[in-house]
Amino acid sequence: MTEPRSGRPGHPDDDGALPQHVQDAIRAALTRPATLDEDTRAQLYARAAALSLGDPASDIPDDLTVYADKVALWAYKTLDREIDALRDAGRTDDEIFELTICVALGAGSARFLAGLTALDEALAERDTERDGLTDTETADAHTD
Amino acid sequence: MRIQIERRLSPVQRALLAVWKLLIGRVPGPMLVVSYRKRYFGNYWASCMQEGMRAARYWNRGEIELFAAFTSKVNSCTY
Repeated sequence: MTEPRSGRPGHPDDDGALPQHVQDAIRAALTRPATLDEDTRAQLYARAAALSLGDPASDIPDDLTVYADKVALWAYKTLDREIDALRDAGRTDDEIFELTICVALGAGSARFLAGLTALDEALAERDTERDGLTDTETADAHTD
Repeated sequence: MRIQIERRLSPVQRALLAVWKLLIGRVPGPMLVVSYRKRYFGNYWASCMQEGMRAARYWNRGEIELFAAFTSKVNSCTY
């Protein structure tokens, strides 16, 4: 089986297969000064990546779980009332924005890397089949 | 209620968005996101969009727009 392009999807220090601009955006979202602390942003990013790949997900603050998981898995189903619930829990709009960005980047980068890995596997399989055909043709030619 | 990004932009940004609205009737979501908190995320994401949408070597601009529109459609996301 082909090794994944990234050894640890969801770990921003190990995302070398992502385009440079995307790596820069991820680092900025996770480390630039913001209202959510860096640990929480890293947890959100890692959890979204894990959920997207069907892996066990690490914990994040309780009040963020419902919205964060929905953005990671079914972003198109998010509702106004879920944003309001975060506000009611005391989260500011800036925090909600940062949370959304970190989760989206985690989910998106994990799926992108998984897609590249699947492509590598398909190409490797095709090459193996071609090599097999070529060997058969060579053997037939020798027989003739 | 969702985050009202437009209300939190600078007057210059709001003027630019008003031009977009005049031209196409609405402000595209990606444009709003890259305009908001540019030093935290917008500037970086604008570079990604520029590379993804405009720096492709194998596909022309129309084909890239078609891919983006199709992907948004199957994601139930207005593009």
